[in-house]
Amino acid sequence: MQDINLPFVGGIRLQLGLGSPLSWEDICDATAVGGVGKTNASVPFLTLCSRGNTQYAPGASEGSQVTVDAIFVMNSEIRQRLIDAVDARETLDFRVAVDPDETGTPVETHTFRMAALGYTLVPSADALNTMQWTFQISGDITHDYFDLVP
Amino acid sequence: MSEPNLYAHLIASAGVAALVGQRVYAQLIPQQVRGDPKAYPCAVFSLVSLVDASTQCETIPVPQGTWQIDAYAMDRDSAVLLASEIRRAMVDYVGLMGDVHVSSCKRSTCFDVGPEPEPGLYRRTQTFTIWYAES
Repeated sequence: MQDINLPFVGGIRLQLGLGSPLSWEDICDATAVGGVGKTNASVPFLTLCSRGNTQYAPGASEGSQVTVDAIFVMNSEIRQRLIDAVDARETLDFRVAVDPDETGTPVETHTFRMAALGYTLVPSADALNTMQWTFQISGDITHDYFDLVP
Repeated sequence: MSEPNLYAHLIASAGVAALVGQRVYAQLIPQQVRGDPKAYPCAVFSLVSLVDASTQCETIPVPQGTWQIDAYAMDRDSAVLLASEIRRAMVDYVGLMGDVHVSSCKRSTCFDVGPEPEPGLYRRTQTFTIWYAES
């Protein structure tokens, strides 16, 4: 097993939840995933102890907008499924699975739902054809950590 | 892992073959013919770089390779003519090249090299970027 105290390359995958109960399928077309996370609103407040200085507390969180860069693969079922989701304005289940040893059993997961906002085709005359997906995290992100004891 | 068969592709090109016959070499002109004027014109190809791209799951079996193809001749016009025929054989070629399928072939650079160590020898160098599906 990889030393969990070391940095690692790869081993983190965005997965799409399919079926009921959910099964998780790697989005294998993806080359880069950006923006998974959330930001708490900054809520200003004053108390008698503030002495005229505004203080801040974290407020309601808002999920971030997520972009997924992907290669354009002919006959990709995931690509067709996600295009359908954008067309139907669906909100889908996603999971970021951390699996440094590529065992198929993640040691950490971050699970959330995302609204399928759009896609952009990026054809190229002299490089791989690609596309980009845009999603919006809707609701909370739940975190699960497994097997973190070395 | 396979890669484009540039030898077979170039000698199969009527324009190139008309100038060099089968005098297409990998990496260098053989020592035994190097000093023979009948060895020219000729073409020499070599791999410059091979780059893989990856998705989050795996390396994509469609690498991007850059090959250098040199056109050698005893006079400059012949070197330029051979380079032109090589370009015609390579640029925008889509299809089988040996046992791999080429999906894109573009010329990246073209320049004259010289003077050559061999007196009276001229060389025009071109590099081609090739995307192909490994078989």
